[in-house]
Amino acid sequence: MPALDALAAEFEPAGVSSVFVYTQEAHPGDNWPHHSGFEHKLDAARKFVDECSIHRPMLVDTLDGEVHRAYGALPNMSWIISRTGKILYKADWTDPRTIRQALEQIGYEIDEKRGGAHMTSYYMETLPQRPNSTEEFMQGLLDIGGPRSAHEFLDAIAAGPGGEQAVAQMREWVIARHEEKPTLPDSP
Amino acid sequence: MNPEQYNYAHFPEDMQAADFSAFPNILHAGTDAPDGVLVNAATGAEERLSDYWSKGPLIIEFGSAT
Repeated sequence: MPALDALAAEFEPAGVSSVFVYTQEAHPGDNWPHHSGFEHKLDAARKFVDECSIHRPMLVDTLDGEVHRAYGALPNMSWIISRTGKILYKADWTDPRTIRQALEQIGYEIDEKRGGAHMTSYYMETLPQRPNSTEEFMQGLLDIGGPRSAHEFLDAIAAGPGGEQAVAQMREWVIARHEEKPTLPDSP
Repeated sequence: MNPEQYNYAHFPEDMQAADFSAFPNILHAGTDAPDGVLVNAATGAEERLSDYWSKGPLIIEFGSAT
């Protein structure tokens, strides 16, 4: 179960709802190609729900990503919206840890208001960090998307100033894992 | 990302760099969230994001299988 499903279930009794918006495939490949039409996108979303056991409502965006693009079109963002439609939380990467903090803050505000406190908003930005293992990311691209997803990601980095040299080691790593199917040293 | 580039068949060489660099400067906390119509994969029904947030705080995660 994805981490946000657990969080959504935990905060649901407090009146928090949660949805997943299905976008374009971020790393199209042999297993999950780009969508050939809206019906294909709908089918892919249903397959995604089944394979990843997502329990939140799965909402499918238009083929050209009308809603996704309105929110900035990044591949794995999360947002929290208030009952009046105001943005309360905005992150360019989904991190259950800071979403939990934001939900606890929202719960605190509701409690204080119920207790009769006069509350006022203030504006804040933060720049949190998350663990990010290149190997696990590349392994995910290989396992989920397939070899093409992994190679096209490396192609994109290689198109930058560092050239193919910048990804030479990762390219070897991907080819070795694709052909030999070994497991990561730290996986069980 | 414009509608023509969206739903790309191959991962873009620019890695959506423009979208990532624009993100801190769009849709700030405290401003109105964009609403929109989406199709519920389970029911096939059209739903608005505001149908959800009008009942209480709403977490929206965007993503795909890959």
